Amino acid sequence: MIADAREDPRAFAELFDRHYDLIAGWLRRRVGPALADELAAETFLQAFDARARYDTARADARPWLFGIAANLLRRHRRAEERRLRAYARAASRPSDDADLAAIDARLDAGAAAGRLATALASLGPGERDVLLLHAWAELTYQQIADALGIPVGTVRSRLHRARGVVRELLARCGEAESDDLRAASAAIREELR
Amino acid sequence: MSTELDRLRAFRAGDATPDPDARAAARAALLERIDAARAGASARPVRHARRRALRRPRLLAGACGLAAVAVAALVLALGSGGVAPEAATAAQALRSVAVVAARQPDIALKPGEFWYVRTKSFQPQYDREGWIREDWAALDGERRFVRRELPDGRTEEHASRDALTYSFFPRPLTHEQVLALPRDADALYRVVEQAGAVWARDNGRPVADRTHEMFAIVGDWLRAGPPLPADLRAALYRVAARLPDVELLGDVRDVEGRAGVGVAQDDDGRRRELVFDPETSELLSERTVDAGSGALVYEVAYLESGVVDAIDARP
Repeated sequence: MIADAREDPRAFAELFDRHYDLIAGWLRRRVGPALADELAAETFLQAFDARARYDTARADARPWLFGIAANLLRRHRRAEERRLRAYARAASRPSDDADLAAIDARLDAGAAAGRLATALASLGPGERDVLLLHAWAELTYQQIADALGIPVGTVRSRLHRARGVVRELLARCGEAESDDLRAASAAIREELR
Repeated sequence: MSTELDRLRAFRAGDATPDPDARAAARAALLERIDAARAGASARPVRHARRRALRRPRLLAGACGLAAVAVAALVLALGSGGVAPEAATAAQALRSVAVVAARQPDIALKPGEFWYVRTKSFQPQYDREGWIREDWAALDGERRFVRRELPDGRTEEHASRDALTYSFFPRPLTHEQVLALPRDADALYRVVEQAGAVWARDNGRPVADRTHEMFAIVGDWLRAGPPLPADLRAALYRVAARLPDVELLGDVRDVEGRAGVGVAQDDDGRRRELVFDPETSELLSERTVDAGSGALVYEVAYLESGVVDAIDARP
């Protein structure tokens, strides 16, 4: 398809149609809709400008496009981390919703989501890229290596460390934090009674 | 009980729904750029021309590297050195590099000191000049990196402190555990083989593919800092010499134009190349090349390393 695009640039629009939702969706999960939509558009413009350099022997353009998107995201690392921390604070705040049956579940889910956000914010940018290309974009290790321009062994070690950080924080959430939240939930029940 | 990956996959999944208006606007912007290109008025012609001009000598260097494969053994003989002139296979070249490695002085990092590494990475498919990255790491896990986009682009920094570990399976090894690894090539081969088998399983591959994982592991360990003792590095080269399907590339030039001895293994559509300095046994560069087209996918070159007293200091 990209080979076609060299002859007929209009064929590049097909690449957009096939992959835009994937790229924009991944960016939206990371930095929110406004910035993500801007970066997704820029990803395809940069891809088009660099089309002559893309190796046409490759069937799957996703690693290439995600590599461009991840590079654009690097300029907005602090915005992403601020957003994650804000999310973590919001997720741990008890709701004033009086639906008693939902409170426990929501607090547990909120605590886990808050912990996930905290874990993601605490990772180095390279580790977060690797983890989220794996978990959200479902790229293979080799595709992640291609996208980010790092050896496949570095992908594995970053992924291993990043998963360890997330696992650790979720485990703490299960043992300690959600006990605290269950106590908070019980207190809310008492108050509402 | 869901794993952390399952939780992560569900995390903010609802945010991924694209917005039709944003999509339409992005598509319109792309079509506008495409039409401009068709009209022969590319949006950034000057920038592209300059970048290509800069890159041309590198492509020539790459072509020379390929042409030199046929006379690799001769070039190795001229390399003053370390590598036996008769090296005609990757195994022979790696065993020779092992001999050189064993002769190198041990570099022991002391508490309070930092291991400094400067690397250059390059991804031709993105039409970029590449990045320079500087890393500092201490035994207590304190570390920092600075990454700078070339030629004069933005800078990114990150500092952290966590346990210093080496990529391994089923769990990472600490520096002390790495120092305790066997120096006997047979014994070390078995250790790396076990790790390779677990990596293969983890990647959803048959255990028979473990030798490909082992090649990657050897690269990981040679790259990892702080530096490994000379006898352990030598043993790792001997392990690599026993792996099947490793071919000798001979005289290879890296992105900086430095000549080294290259060995490679094909794996899953990619050819992974390790380039060593035959005189010091140091890893000069790692390259990944598309096995079908031969196009360079990316390269990481190790430009400089050494012990320094503080973060931000250079050897």
